[in-house]
Amino acid sequence: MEFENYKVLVVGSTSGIGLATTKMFLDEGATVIGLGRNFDKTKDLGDTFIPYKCDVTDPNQIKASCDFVKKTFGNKLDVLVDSAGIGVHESVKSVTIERFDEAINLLLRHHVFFTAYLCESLYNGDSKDPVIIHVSSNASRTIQSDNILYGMCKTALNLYIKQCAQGLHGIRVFSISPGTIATAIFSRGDHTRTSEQVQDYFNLLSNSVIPAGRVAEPFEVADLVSFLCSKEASYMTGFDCLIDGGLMHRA
Amino acid sequence: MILADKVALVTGASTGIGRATIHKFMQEGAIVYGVGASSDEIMSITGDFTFIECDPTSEESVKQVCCEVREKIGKLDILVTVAEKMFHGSVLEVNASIIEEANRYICLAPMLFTKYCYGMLKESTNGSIAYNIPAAALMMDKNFLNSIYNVAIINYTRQCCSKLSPVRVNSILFGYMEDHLLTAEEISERSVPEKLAKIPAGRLGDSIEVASVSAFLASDKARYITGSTYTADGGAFTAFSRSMGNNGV
Repeated sequence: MEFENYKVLVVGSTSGIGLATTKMFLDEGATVIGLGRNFDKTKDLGDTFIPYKCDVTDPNQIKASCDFVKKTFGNKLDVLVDSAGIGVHESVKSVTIERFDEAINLLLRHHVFFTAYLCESLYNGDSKDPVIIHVSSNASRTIQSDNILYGMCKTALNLYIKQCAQGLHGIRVFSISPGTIATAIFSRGDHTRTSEQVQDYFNLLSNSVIPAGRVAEPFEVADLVSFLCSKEASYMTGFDCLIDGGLMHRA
Repeated sequence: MILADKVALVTGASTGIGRATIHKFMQEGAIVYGVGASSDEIMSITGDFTFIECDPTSEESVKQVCCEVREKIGKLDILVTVAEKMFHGSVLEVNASIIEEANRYICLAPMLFTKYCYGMLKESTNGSIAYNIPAAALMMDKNFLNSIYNVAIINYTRQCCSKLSPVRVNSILFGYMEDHLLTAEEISERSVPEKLAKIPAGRLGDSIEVASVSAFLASDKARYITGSTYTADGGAFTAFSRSMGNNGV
């Protein structure tokens, strides 16, 4: 088992990429503290999964969650994965102060503060190879005038992980930029799609713009997380890992 | 074994990264063809390994190698390219001969292997190409030829990932490695404490740490990864304050 006895925190553990990542770490022998708000999908994960309620837009809850992690794990941590977030959709003209702040709080701020509060614990971890992964998006590399806030936050996140790699010698830090992954992000928040409409949307993208001809499953991103946290990635840090089936660079 | 039953072709076989990639791929169950200039170490590898001497800058030689692979085993799942040389000389020092040679080893060679391997790679259930590129390509450097021509290969990776789909095409950027193309003098220059302190990993790398990235990208777990650049440099370049393309490269 690749991550036996690892102490892992997954923010956004209750669905999508966070849930797949949580399951991967549990399968590989880690103990995972999972943050989220609705634990329906994590009911049967066993006793090496420790749920803790957290709304990542609330600074008090970020702090309380980190205090819980430090207390539970004895101020030791081996991996931090932060994949919490959903779309916040505004254009150049439609954007408001409230939506701007909402985006920063949902898509950027918590990544910075989970990192800042937990880096000491990461330096104390028993694996002696601590890793931080912040889930970004291929939107970080594109220019979309009708979706400015999501792209801005994700681009900032890509720079932030490099700042972290430079400022936290000894901790390997990455962002992951997924393309279209089959998760609930397409039917939550600003999106009011039914599950049929989501499937239609996936089929449309698969047949028109994704060179790989399909959307990816969350476990494929979890496989990338697994690689990055393993000894196979021992000399890697400080860059954004694109995983998008060729969507970004299609002709 | 993540590359079981796969057939791989590795260029620059006698370089540090070439040799490490060959050993790693064999450990992971692949049948490996190594090509390029020969060496004692390369000739002494046993197991499911075949060395074919090749001039990677000659279209005839590359074509011949690919025909030979097709005749011997009839399939190819993985192509990994490694340039056999680094090129020295500043902007005003170089002449046409050096510029053209750099272009041949850094650009022409991987493009020729791509072209002549594609026919077999597209028959694979998970065809994969990876170009190994010095991460120094992302920095301003006195030895500019390595930089400019390798940035071209980063672009080429992206061109290919859509044109050659479903064959996946990625680049692997490598940092300062103990055992790959640096002279003993360059290694000791880079190993002084002040210089190592600037590398987040605090040390130079070992070619096996680049080979392991190559193995992952070629494996079935990386099926959704194409058109990307993955870097193994201990942060020397990715987290350098003035690294080019700090976004999305």
